[in-house]
Parts: sequence; structure tokens; C-alpha cells
Amino acid sequence: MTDKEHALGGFLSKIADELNISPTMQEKAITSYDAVGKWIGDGLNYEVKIMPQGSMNLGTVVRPIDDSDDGYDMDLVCLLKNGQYLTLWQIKNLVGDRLKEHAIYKKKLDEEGKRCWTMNYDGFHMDILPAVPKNFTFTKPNFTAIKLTHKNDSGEYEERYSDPSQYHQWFKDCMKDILLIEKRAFAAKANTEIDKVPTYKMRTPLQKTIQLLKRHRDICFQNNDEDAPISIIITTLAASSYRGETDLYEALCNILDKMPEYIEYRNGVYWVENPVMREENFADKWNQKSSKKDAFYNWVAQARRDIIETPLECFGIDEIARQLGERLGNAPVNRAAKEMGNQARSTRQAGGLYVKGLTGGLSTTASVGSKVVKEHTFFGK
Amino acid sequence: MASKKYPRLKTYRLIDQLLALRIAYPKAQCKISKGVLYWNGVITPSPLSQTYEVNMKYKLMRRPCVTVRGENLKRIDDPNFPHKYNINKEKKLVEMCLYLSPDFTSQMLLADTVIPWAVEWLYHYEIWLATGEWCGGGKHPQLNKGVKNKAAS
Repeated sequence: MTDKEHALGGFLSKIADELNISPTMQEKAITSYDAVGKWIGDGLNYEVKIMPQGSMNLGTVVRPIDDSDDGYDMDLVCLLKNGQYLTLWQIKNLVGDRLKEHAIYKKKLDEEGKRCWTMNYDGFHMDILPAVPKNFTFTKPNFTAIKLTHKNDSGEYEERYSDPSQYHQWFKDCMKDILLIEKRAFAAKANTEIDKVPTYKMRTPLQKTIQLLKRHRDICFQNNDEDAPISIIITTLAASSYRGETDLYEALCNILDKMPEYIEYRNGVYWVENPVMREENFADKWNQKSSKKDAFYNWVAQARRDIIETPLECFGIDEIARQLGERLGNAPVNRAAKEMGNQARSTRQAGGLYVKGLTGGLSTTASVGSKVVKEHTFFGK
Repeated sequence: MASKKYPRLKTYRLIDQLLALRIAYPKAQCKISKGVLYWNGVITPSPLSQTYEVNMKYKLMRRPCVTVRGENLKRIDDPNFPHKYNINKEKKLVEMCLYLSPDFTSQMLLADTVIPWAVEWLYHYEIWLATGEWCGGGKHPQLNKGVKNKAAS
């Protein structure tokens, strides 16, 4: 890896941080769903467990492209733990009816969705998926599959299955040691136990890569929403391709290279396997509409050009920021560039900024022949 | 007579400055002519950055004059161009404001102070180009208030 590649990785890492949901909104989301879970649990004769699923739980949420820290989708499973014998209609409507008993929730509630109940919060769309254990029990880590309901076009409920807990575990396993390293560092800083550090608070190169790719997708397909690759495909292929790289640049290059290799072609059918439910094909729609498949392959190539190749051909932080801004959004790129500047200033003030000769640039580590940048005050008009 | 406890700081001669610059930045040009030290180097302030041609002129007991010039300089006609003494648009040349007295004195080596500050200035300059904000800190003299410029002189 060249110095430039490493530095680009550093810049992209800061951009990914700027794409992330703010801690305030994250906390707000948790408070809101805890309250919803408690309300449902208090009113039903079933043991209710409310669990976030999807990007909120994996730490791969991205801000909407208008950069507002707002309008996030929050996916929740509302599990009736001892509701195995309920009918599909009951599973869905027990939860829906209970929500309607709450004056405020009733106002926030949309019409019944195919699988979920959606509530429109300030800053969120909360999708609540009513479900029961698929097996006799819901016990982590081995029995976590759930049964959910799917309302078809003629208004009948069909059963569907999913296993978000298992997927979350699979995703964590893909991050291997680096998750442990990051969690250990976080736990030490926050003075807490490592088991209490949630995955969504971590910032591994895999999570950052997924955020950058999702944002690139959002901008790339803003006028062709139909064919945009869905997040679960991006997340699954990226996590499958990840080899524990500690450097974001290396993770990104490797993931962009390997992602297509995890798309199978089984007896004439394109297949992106759900790693925890082998019979589920995340790419089933590609087989009905081939433009979706083509769009995916083209997008991967485009992402590589826009995030890696073109910036490396540019000279100047400003020029690279301009290129990345077009593809990832000007606002987060701007904030990331300022963050680099602020960091250089505060490092200098703390006496830890070095210059590596005339062409090595600024660095936070001393090396042979480097000079510390002494504290001073830029002056002048 | 200077006391032993507080020895008078030594003023570096031009030749001392030149040697230190040559050792620290062997690829740059440096010479002394008629009591003036001239330094010319090409600086890349970060691996992502452009390269810039930087010149320095230094006379003992005077403020070193550090300029950057060339086609790679952008927005030199921007009225908000940060931390500069002078801009020469025709020559595409900017004199950088790197410090406030007494950050640098003739008892310090240029190689340890002014040159690293120039590298840092260029880094913040590129971030200013990208964001419109100068993140390197510093002070702007208040104009039109009759306040005397406190810059190194």
C-alpha cells in the first residue's frame, strides 16, 4: 500500500464517520423502541421482546442523501416469545391493535403494511415486524429463527421465516478479531465490560465500507430507484468478502474485488444466499428483472472508479474532496476534510505533529529525520 | 556580562542556518549571497496533496520572507485567502504568514520552525480550498482599526 492509498483510506474513514447516524439520534431511537416494546408488552398476555434488526443493529446506518440527521428507517422485530400457537392473523393484529390503543402511537401509525406496522416518528420511520418463534422456543444462540406474516395481494396472510439474531451473529463473526479489538478499546475508554459494548457502536473497516457503498448506491441510483441494489445484498456480499483488514483502504479494495464472487448462478438462477437461511435468495428479484442484476455489476465497477481510482489520480486534498463530494455527498466530505484539519491543529498544539521531510507530509508519528511542528500562531490577513 | 545561570541565547549565523537546512532538507536548494540566505524547495504537504514551489529569503535579524508560487496555487484572487502578507496575481505568488512574533527568533533554526510551518500552512491551505474554512488556528489582525500590526518584523 502506498502512502497515498493509506491517506485516502484515512480520509474515507472520516467520511464514513460523517455518514453515520449521530449518537443523539441513536439514543433517541433506542429510547423510542424501548417505550414501544414496553407498551406492547404491558398490554398483551404474551412475553414480548422488541429487538432492532438490520442496519441499526449492525452499525451500518447511513444518513439520507440530503444529509439531514433525520428520516432513518428503524427495523424492529416484535417477538411474542410464547405465541407459537397464534394464527398468522392474530400475530399481526394483536400487535397492531395494541399500538392503536395508544393515543399517540395511533396517530403515528400508517395503514397496515405487508409485513410490518409502520410508525412515523420525528426523525424515524419505525417498522415493527410482529413475529413468533419458528421453533418451539426462542433461545439464543441456537434457536433464534422467527415466523412472520406476509399479507399477499388478496389480503391473506402467508408465513415467512427469518433469523435476524443469527444474521447479526454471522455479521459479527465476519469481523472476527477486529471487532474484539475495537470493543476492548471502547470498553477500556468507557470503563465498561466488553460484553456490554453493542456492535452498533463499533466502527470497523467493514462497517465503514458498507456505509460508503450504501451512500454511493443512494447517490448513484437517485434517479433510478427501481434497480438500486438492496442493502441486504450489499451488506451480505461485503461481509462475506471481508478478510479482517485493519486498514479501510485495503478492506474497500478487497471487498469491491471479491463481492461479485459471492453471487452464485444455480441452475440458471442468480443467487445471493442468506448466510443463515440457506434456502433464502436475497437476489430473487434479479431473476424476474435482469436490469437489476446488470445494475449491480455496473454499480460495483462504478464504485471502484469513484471511491478508489479517480481520487488516486487526483492531486490536492481539495481536488480529491471535490471528486468524492460528487459521489458521496458534499456535506459529509466537507465535514471530514475539516475534521482532518482540526485534528492536525490539535495534534500540533499537543506537540505531536511531525513533518516527514518536504514530501512525506504531516504525520502524527515521529520517524527518522522527521521534525516536530513547533507550536506557533498563523498570522496575517 | 551575561550571568552563568541565564546564558545569553546564541544567534545563529546564516551559515549555521544553511547547514541545518541542508541536513534536514537535502533535496532543496540553499545558498547565501551578499548576506542573504536563499532557500528553494518543493513541498507536498500530505500524500494526497499537490506539490508547491516554496522560496525563502532570510536576512539576519529580519523576518524570513516565505513565498509559494506556481500554477498549482488556486483562488489567489479570493478576498478571503487566508494568512498571507502579500499576493502577486501576475506572478502567481503568495507570501505566507506563518507565525506571530516571537514564535520565531534568530536564536532558532529555520529548519526546525519556519519550514515545518510552511508545510503545515500548505496542508491547511488545501483544506481551506476544499471547505472554505481555515482549520489551522491563528490570528487575523484587525484591519482599519488603527491597531499596529504585531507580526514579526
